[in-house]
Amino acid sequence: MLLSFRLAFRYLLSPRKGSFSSFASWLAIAGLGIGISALMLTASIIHGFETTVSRKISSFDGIARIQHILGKPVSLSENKLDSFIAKTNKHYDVLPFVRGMSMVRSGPNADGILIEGVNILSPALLIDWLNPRSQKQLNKGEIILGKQLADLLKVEIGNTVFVEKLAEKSTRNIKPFTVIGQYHSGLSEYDKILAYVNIKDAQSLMGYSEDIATGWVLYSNEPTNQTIPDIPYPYVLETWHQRHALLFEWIQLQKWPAFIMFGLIALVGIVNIIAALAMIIVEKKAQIGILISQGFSKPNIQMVFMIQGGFIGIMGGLFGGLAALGIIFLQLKFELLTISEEIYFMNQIPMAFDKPMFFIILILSYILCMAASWWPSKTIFKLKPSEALLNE
Amino acid sequence: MSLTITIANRFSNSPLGNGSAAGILSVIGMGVGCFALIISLAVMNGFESLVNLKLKGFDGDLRISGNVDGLNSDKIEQFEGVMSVMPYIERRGLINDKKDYRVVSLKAVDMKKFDDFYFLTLRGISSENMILIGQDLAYRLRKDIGDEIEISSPLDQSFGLGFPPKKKLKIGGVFTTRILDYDDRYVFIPLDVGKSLFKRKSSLDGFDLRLNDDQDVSSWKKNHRLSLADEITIQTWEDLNRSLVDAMQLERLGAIVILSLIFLVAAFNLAATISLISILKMKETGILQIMGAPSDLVRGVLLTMGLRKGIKGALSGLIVGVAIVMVQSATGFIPIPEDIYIINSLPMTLYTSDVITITFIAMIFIFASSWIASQKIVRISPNDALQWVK
Repeated sequence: MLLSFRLAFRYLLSPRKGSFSSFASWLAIAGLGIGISALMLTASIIHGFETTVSRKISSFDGIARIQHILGKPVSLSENKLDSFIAKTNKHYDVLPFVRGMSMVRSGPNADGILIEGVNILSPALLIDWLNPRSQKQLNKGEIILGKQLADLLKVEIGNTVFVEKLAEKSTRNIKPFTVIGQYHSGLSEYDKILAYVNIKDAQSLMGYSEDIATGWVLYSNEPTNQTIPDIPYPYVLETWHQRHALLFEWIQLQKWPAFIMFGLIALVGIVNIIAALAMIIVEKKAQIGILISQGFSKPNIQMVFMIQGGFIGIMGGLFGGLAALGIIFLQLKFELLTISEEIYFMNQIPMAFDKPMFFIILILSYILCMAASWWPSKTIFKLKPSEALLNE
Repeated sequence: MSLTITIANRFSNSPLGNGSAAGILSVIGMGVGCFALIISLAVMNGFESLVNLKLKGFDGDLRISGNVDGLNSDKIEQFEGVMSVMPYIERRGLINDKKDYRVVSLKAVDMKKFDDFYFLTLRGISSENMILIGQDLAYRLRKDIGDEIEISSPLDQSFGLGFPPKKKLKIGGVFTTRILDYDDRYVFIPLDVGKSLFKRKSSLDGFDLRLNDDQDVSSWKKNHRLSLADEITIQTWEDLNRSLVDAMQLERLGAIVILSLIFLVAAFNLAATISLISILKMKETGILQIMGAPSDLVRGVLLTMGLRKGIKGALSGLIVGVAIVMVQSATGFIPIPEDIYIINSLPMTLYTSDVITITFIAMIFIFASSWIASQKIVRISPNDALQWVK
């Protein structure tokens, strides 16, 4: 066994200038490395995109929202939900919210917005506060706008805006609010429309009493996979994932063609190993003949080439993996590769360490490398030492 | 036949044992690279032309906006190459059904010309006293053709008391574009309704133009820039959707660069194969050189062999790829989910320029790898070559 290793590394790392064996092996390692690196980067970008979009959407929509099945306002003192809230409260914050369409004005500029009244803001929402040190929540008379909406209205943090409920009633309900913060997510659907106020302000704007809200929102401070208990009738629970199911279906659909396309690079890399080993065997035919005639068993010689294939697999995985990790690290740290936020919801190529996928790619490529080395190495069994030596 | 080709033929025909399998694999590698590039570019082109067609169908070929007081449809129709003109006024406004309000872009257009001007997938009809809404908006408002809905323009509301100008209209049709959030964001309303609703606007916002088929949009813009006043802006459909058009270009470039990596990896294989041949034929090349053959001949032989293998692979990948594109275009045998992409089969379009680009990239890799591999043997002196021990 030890001799097999020694021979394998001698063939691979032959220091002689112009050695074909080591030249072919290094080319195979480089090819495999490029393939693995491309696959890992693909996995990282898909995972990054999914994570970023999920984080952004859930920062607005919370984990899930509970509403009346007919969309009617709900009573906060309703005891039908008591046991649900008690069960869910262990892992999530269940908080009432009020949502309604309103009109916002600042000087001559006006726009329709969706007002969301909350007690506590989503912890995931990144806000640029007027007083970043002292304030993290909303008081009465305060409003947080999306950056795109603020730009449309030409207002800045600290300015006053007037919000009016859109209604058919003849009486007008207008309230002044001070802009105390802005958020920017890159999702124009939210950034242009959604504004946060204190729940009491929202209730008074919508004409609700203090006991009435649009529904409940579930927030989680830390990632949890706890299943949410069933909700009693007439309430309905919708997770952010269900709400944006089409988007995630689209991501899933994009995933496989991308893996197949980039997998082709790795596949050609693995084919290189077959070619490289086949060529090394052709080149070393005479030496193999000598080894067999000296009494070295054929399975042992096959082992030499299997070890070579395994080594190429490990080195390819190592170089490819390190290159991919390096690129991901550089992108995360310096955001070198930028894209259009209007189209992709984010302004740089998203990347994330998809550890399980990286592990699968490395293991799978290693298994395929071993399989690829087995195929050319089995020709050794057909080799006759006398013929091998005679040809030389 | 030249000596280089004769020797290359002799070397190619001599048995390489397992090495010939390696040679075949290097050919396959190149083929896979070409195939992958052809297919992915064809799919990207297919989606791109589909999106472009939709964008042009929605916006027209060109838009003239800004201070257009001195212009009217008849005047613009006199310009050379203009097929039709659509006047418009656009304003952010509200669409509501009792309690459900949505903020949308209200685009007031001449409904008489709507069907001829815009190329949209439209269910229902365009009429002078009805509005057209997008599929997603219809779904969100739970409304359909024939239902009545209210539109209002809060931006035109007077200060103090009073309400935004409002109008109740029936939905005449529901359109589907599947471009960004257009189906949720846009509402087409009759021009007269727009004029009465947008009280603070004194004139049109501009005109959408459709040009004759033989007109190039960019050249038209360039030629007419000087004949129109400075305060008038001319934008092509590409200018109007700059970020989407740029994003598609970027994706295309990304795909070419990344998939060229297949060529790179396959080129490593080709280099290894040529290198193996050069080692197996070391003594023969040594003899040739001692007999007086110049090193260029030896290099030429190996280069010829490399180019042959590479071109064989690239050409087969190209032929298979092009064949699949042609069959898909004719029969549409590869399906895609219609609810996400609006069409039910994978769109594929291939341009001659793409085939030339791919062939060029393949040739660079094939030539470079064969050249590098053939250089190795030229550096070895004939004496060393003759005494070569593997």
